[in-house]
Amino acid sequence: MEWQLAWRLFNRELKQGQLVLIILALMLAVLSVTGLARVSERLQVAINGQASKFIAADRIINSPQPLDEAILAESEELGLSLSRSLQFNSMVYAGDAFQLVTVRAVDDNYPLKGTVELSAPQPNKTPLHHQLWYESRLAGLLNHPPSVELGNSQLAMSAEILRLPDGGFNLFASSPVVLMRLDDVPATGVVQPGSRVTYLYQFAGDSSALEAFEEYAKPKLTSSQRWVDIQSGNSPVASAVKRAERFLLLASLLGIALACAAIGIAAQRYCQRHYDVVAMLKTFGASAKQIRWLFGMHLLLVTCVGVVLGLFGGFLLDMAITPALPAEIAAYDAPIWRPVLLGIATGFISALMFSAFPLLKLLSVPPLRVLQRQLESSSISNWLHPLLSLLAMAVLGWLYSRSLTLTLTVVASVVLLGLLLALMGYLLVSAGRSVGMKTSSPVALALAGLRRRARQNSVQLVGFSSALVLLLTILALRQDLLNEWQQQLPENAPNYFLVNIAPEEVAPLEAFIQSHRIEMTDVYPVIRGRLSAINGEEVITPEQQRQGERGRIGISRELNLTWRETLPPNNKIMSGHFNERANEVSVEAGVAERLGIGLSDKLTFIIDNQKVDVEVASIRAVQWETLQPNFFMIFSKEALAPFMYTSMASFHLEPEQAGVILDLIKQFPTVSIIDVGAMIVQLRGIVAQVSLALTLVLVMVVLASSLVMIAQTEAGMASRQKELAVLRTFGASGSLLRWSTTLEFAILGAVSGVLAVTVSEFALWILKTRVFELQVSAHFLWWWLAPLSGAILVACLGLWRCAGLLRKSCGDLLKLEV
Amino acid sequence: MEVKSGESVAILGPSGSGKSTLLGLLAALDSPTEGEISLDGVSLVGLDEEQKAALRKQKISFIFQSFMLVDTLTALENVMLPAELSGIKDARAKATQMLQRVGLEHRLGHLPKQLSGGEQQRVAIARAFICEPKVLFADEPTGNLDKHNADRVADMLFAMNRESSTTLVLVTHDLTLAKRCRRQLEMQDGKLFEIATEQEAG
Repeated sequence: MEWQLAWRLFNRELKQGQLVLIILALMLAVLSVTGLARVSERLQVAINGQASKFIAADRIINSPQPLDEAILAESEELGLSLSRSLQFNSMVYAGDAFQLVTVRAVDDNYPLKGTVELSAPQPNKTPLHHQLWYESRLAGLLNHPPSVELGNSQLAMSAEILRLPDGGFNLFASSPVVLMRLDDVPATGVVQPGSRVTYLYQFAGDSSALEAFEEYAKPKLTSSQRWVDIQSGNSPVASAVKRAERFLLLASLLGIALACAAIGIAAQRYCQRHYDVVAMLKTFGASAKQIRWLFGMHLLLVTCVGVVLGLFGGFLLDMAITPALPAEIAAYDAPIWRPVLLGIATGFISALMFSAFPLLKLLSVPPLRVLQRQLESSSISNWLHPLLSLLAMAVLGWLYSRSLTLTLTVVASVVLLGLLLALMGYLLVSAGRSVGMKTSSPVALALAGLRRRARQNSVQLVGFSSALVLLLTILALRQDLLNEWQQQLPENAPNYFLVNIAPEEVAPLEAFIQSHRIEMTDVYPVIRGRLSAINGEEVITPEQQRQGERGRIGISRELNLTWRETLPPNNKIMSGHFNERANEVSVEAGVAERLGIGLSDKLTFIIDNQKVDVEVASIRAVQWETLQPNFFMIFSKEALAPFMYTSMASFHLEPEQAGVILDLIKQFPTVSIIDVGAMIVQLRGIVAQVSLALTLVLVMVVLASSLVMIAQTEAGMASRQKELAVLRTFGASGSLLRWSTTLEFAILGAVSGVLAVTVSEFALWILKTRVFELQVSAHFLWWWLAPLSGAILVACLGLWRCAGLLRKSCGDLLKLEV
Repeated sequence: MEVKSGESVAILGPSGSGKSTLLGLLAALDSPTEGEISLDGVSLVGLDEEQKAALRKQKISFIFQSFMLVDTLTALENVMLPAELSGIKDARAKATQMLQRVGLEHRLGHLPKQLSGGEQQRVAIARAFICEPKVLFADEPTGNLDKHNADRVADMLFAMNRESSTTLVLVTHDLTLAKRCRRQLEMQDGKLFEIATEQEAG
């Protein structure tokens, strides 16, 4: 019976538009979560898929000795595919010529992701027996021999490699790479016990199996074995992916918070509207159980409709977005269950938690209200509401982001906003005592109204300012992120790197590049060296420290050092001055922080077995994502002058100029050319995807904010209706009422604006320093723009509602249910 | 104060004299801090909210000055409400019949806002009688109506009351309406005086 009644009540209210607000709020929450989760899921799958090609697998284990077979057995057990390979340095000979090469010996499964790009296509994807695939540079260095000797074997030079899928982003691979079969290695005899080799184990498979494998294998690795995934390392792709993911998470969190606010307001209104119905039902003898059932069912139906509409909206959104995606991203299809489940969970959790308090209040409305209309429930503590709301937000936030920092930032901002609002509310209430009607002027009437309705106004402030906070935060973050990405990836970002340029080749190379009217970055000399001591104290590697050695931590590998007389572009001195005297060095800020290096510290480097002492003259910030040649250590010229060096440079080439590269290879056979165009395309794809997501988020936030604002204005108007009616009846002019209402709302809007700026600056500060690693900047313009636009927006909403009421006659106004 | 079964009693008195408070107590909507109230042999003192609700469901019905119809339900559905709460099976048929009795058979599917004040109160009367209550409490039933409609509603109320031999307790300002009851009591400063006992007029 209650079920029927609930259904009837729901059906009628739905048809009469009484449930529009709450269903819209729910729908928006579900839609934004589902839509954004779907976009970010797809983004993640696409990016991971693309980035996997860069390591030719999903995960890699690097090891100086063969890996425990049990680990490999486990990977097989989990259904992962495996490719084994071996990497070592060796000499190859062709007649009198010889050259040091980096040998990659691979099995038939290689590469698990991507392909080996060759200058002429081959029927097989890896070399055949007794074959060697080689980098073009090697052929130049050895005068194009038909075959080479490697240890005891003679290998045919059968194909020229343009790019290995896991060639990586190592610009400084000093020796050319060759590819051969793993089972050809024993015959060469070059790998003996004790030889320096790296065993590479590449894995690929579905994400759950990979996760399970990671959980199993990672703890079993020794300190000399390394676990590699696409997000390891400092690659520009990895950092762009991480940021994009975090932003989407945050955006969805804020979307949830806002939609929750809308649900909260709508639920409150929904329950208030039913106070009389509950009182009446109780009067006619409905038991508490019947009423609980009735409204529980009713709310469940409302939630279901909201959730279904939200899911449907999310689906439509996805359909609308997919054609707009870059083709290579749209091709990936992410599983749909997670966004759908998240959407459903969001709908039900937010409906339940945010309506719990108003619903409890509703259920405890005394039946006596039928005779004494002002009666409301008094038995429910008011602290329950904010507590439940915060809890709901935290649960949803964590469920969605699984990031404590993000969740806590959002909750902390909400708490700050709450405290500020409580303070404002208190000030308004205490100022509101002993205030009469004051109908002399619109301003006086507005001010008096503002103070008289202090309590309701502070509730309205919550709605207005939370909508503005989220709008401002998303707006600022979106702009900052896009700006930064655009700065890093300008249209003419370098897509080719030239390394291993011999000193005598620099001038001819520059002339060659110039003759093709290509703009090249500065040429940087590169010298390999190892940091051996800081202020005379010998440094140890992190690995040595793990093994129990004591001492100051250094860098475990050789560094690429350069010298320069001026500060390179995209570098910024943070302290000190750029090298002026001989034997000075400028240190990158991240390294300086990690190693505890400060200005005037003395660093000792070992270069070509010689000690070089330099003094730190400056600490320098570097934008690593710029794809320009970047260095940890820049020396003064005199310090590195005695050493042999090669040079590097980068330039941008339009696709139609690709022929230049062939000429370049012919004229400068010993120069290595590294094509990073693919990576740039990938980065651009990510930026395009994220820009789209950002715009989407902004649209959703604007929608949600408008909904919250309209809901709040509506709520505010209800309480003003009676007063308007009375003032109107006693002859107050339409313009006085219009102006005073508009002013009252404008002041509320302005105050909300100020609160919103305060809170969003706080939130942005935490987010930028803790989550996004962006530069913090104050938005001075906001301090007057936000209150102004808040005032105008809220005033317009108020005026619009007020005009509707003022068109009605006094009689109608008085008769309207408040 | 004692009201016999089938009797009709009007409680008169100026605003703020305590009429509504008395009504709330008699109708088991509120609990007395002291004293004794019993309804149909059941003491109301000491009953919890659930027990009072059950009592109201079985024995009591109401008519309000502001009609108290659910504005999203049709006239028919509003009348069905108490019957459904009591678990009466043929609620729809009964409600239709009740609306016929108050002359609103052509308004079954109308929403309260599509009905005049008089019609709304007639719907409320139909609703009040659908569960055949023992006692009907009416709080200013004609207070929101013009003279013509007030008379019509009053006629209907007393007619149906007579037909179903319900006990009627009516709170009103309106002396004419009060005079149609068998007894009239007046409330003054929280005290109750019997002013007249007459033959029912309507």
